[in-house]
Amino acid sequence: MRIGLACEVSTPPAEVLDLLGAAGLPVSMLRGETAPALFHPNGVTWFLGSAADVLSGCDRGALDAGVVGSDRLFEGRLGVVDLLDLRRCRDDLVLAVMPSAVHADRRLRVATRHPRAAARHFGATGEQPEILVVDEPLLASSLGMADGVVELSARLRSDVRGAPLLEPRAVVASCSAHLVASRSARVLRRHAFAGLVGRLRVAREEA
Amino acid sequence: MIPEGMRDVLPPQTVRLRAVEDLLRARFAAYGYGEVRTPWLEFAATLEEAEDDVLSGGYRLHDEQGHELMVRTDMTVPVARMAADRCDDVPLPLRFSYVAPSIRPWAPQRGQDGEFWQAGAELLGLDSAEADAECVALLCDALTGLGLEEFTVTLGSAAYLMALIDSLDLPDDDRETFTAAFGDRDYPLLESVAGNAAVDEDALKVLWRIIELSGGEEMLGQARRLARNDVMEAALARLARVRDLVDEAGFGRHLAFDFGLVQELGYYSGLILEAYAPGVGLPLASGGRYDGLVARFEWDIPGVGFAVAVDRASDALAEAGVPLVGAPAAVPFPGGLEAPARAAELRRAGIAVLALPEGAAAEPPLIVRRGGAYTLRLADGREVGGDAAAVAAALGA
Repeated sequence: MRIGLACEVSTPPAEVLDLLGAAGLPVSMLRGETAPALFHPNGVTWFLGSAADVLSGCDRGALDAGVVGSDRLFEGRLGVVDLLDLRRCRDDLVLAVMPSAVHADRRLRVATRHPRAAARHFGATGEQPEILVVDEPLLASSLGMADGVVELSARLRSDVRGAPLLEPRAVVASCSAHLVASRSARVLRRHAFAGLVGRLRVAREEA
Repeated sequence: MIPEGMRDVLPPQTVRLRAVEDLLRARFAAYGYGEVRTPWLEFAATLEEAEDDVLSGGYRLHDEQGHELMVRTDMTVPVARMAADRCDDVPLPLRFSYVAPSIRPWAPQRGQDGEFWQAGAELLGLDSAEADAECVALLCDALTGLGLEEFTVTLGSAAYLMALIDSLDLPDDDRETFTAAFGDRDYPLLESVAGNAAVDEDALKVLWRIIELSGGEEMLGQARRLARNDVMEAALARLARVRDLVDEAGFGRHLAFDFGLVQELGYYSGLILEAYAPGVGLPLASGGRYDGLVARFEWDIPGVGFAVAVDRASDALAEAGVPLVGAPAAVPFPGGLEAPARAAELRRAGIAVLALPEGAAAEPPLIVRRGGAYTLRLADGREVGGDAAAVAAALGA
């Protein structure tokens, strides 16, 4: 089986590796490794890369399965199938603002990597801010491009140099790591998938 | 330069694609599906009848009378329009096939080229499991006829899913959003709509379990246990009958079931299907039952069909290492350009001849003329001499 782990340019999350390992997948050589990288232990191909590449790989059948954050699935899942919430790497996608930048007489400007999730949230609340799509929302705020962000709360707490102090205002969505599958692999390798999903489900509940 | 999403196709790729098209045509003909052609341009309103954003999102232009036209984005809707316009006095059922390109705005995120060729079959005028089964069997037969041994046709039911959604008792607006989210596999939006509409928790659990039902025929039993009303039961009984008939036709080993299967196009009403082969991530073929589509053109007859994506089928054959036999490559004949009668003589003998100027360099196999006789110089260095018939025999023409 060919599996992609979304970890951008970092190491794969230990709690996801623990779960995959408990489900019988050979993960030991992935610990401490940094994306992008490709490994082939014991008949399994592991791709460490960005969520976008993992989703594209699954969409085109180059990967059978992937683990990506559900925050990325909000933004469009291509043709992949969302198989299982792994209930790991839980986080909230939040609206956070720089209080000093918010003016009642000016339209709110929100920088984000998650425009669809943001639009859905504001659609529900009735607010109509300007949404800017950028790769680094935190720095967009520092540059004065935006008054706030829609971003994962873990990234708000990260030490991005030059990032402003932002005040969370609302939870836009709750997120976690999900197992996704290529549409074709899900059909052509259904027995392998049934076994994997079953083992992951058991491991998820036992942990 | 060409518009984005478009491409030129050169030999030998054209030979491969033509071979796929011809093999599919032959299988469609073997089931009595007559080939049709419909125009590139339809009235925009025709394609809008499908009430689907993808089909309505094609390139538009206007004729001199100011009519709004659209370059066709799909073949099923034009075939439905054609049947209603031209065939409403013809005895049913109608069996049509086509091999044709359609054009949509390029959508790389959906694996959608701007121009794509499809080979499809449509069976109009029969609303039965037997008609559904004929289409599934024809698809399996066509893919087998291409030389593919390993492929899977996965079946689902739009009727089952719609009846399930009906059972949630959503308000009309929410139902529309919910159905669209279902089609987009946008599960967070599904949860959000269901939460806002206070959908019963148990009903929602059933929905999530059904979406996950994908596998062999044991899925039919699981889907039956989750059915919440008679319409869902009837849809499953029909799917089981389709399974039995396709199995009788000899293609049962290729079937799988997926109750979360939702097609992009919104006109499907019953059976839905997709075909996959190893090495190709996107579906080789898709289709289903679209009762109600022809009625939008004022002839209320049912329909079922599918389309094979010619490029993807060619890719699947390449992945499987299946050779495609197209027209034989032309054999170079230096001097043939100055001696058209000689080239013609060889062609009459059944040899494809590439006439070149005298003295032109060419790689063997090639034909060399010596007086009134020919010599066929083979790639391994051997030479075969004689008249045109002897050269043809040596080439196996």
